Amino acid sequence: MAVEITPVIRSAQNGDRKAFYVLYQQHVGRVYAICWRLLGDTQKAEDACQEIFIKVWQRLPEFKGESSLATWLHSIATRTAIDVWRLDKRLHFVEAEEVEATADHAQLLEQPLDSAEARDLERAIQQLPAQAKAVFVLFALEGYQHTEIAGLLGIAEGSSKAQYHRARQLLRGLLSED
Amino acid sequence: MKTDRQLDQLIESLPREITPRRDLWAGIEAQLDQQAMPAIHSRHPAKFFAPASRWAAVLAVAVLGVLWWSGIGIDPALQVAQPTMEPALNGQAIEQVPADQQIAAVYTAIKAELLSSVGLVSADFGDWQYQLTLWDQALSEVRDALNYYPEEPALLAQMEGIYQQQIEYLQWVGTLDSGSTIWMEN
Repeated sequence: MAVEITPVIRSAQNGDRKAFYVLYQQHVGRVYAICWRLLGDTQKAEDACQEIFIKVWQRLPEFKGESSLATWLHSIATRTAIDVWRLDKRLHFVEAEEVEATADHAQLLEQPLDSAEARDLERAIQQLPAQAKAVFVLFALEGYQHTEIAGLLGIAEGSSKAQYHRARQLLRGLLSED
Repeated sequence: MKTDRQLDQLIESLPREITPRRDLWAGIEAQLDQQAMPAIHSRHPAKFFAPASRWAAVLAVAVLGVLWWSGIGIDPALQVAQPTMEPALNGQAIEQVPADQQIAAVYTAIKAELLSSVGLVSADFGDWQYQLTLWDQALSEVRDALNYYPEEPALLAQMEGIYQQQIEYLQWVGTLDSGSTIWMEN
């Protein structure tokens, strides 16, 4: 379904940085959320977020309005965040203590969460095994279907479903411990 | 143990947006200075020449790659610039130098050789150097990707492909200043 390309988008496509800044402000929260949840590290999330917006700037002229800008931009964000996550997973073996330290990062505690339980859930998500975490974030929080997740992560659709089920089981256990 | 329903309720309560702890815009804007937008490029007439050479370059790179790595040799026309490769690599043993640096050293030398032989090109031909700049930007992006995936064969092939396009383009441009082409007749 085609959507209207707003004047702000059109200006940004023509190289207007002020217009692009408006788009940045509109979307940075959601982009950063997926980066932070997938990567579990503030610095990496910030770097990935910046990389995403630079890609968006470069590719913005390709945006033809076949979907909403949010959908289009989010697709770039997700793919880029997954690329960084995949590389990070390959290069970096995360020790248990480090996971705990990351999950306890001050930024997480500063987020305006509705309850202590919600904060515990954020912390528990960061304690999940890498692939289970990625599947959970993409399915439960980002709204992707298992078919799409399978494509994004390069796994079978059945594996995505299994990892999601496993993630839920682990989260239920982790939350009960708290 | 939480129930599935309790877990679903908790998931629903999580924010879909998280505000970065610092403003990331300054860093983004600084990098935008080094980037150019494809739409601005696409209006340039030089783009007309890119698609045809792209496919030719893919074939050329495949052949060149096989010859290169099998040690049989490369196009004699390109060997002219090869002696400059060693100084470019600061005397390091070739096997110690990352493949992308080897590729860059070789092709940069060839480009320099070809550029030095390009004379005055008719203005009717357009800004031929702009096309080279586009490829340089593409090379920069491939190098960025190689930082994440060092020695990735697909990226290295892509890198060679872009260099090869530049070489072929320069060889072609080099033929245009002879005074016998249609570009010079206007």
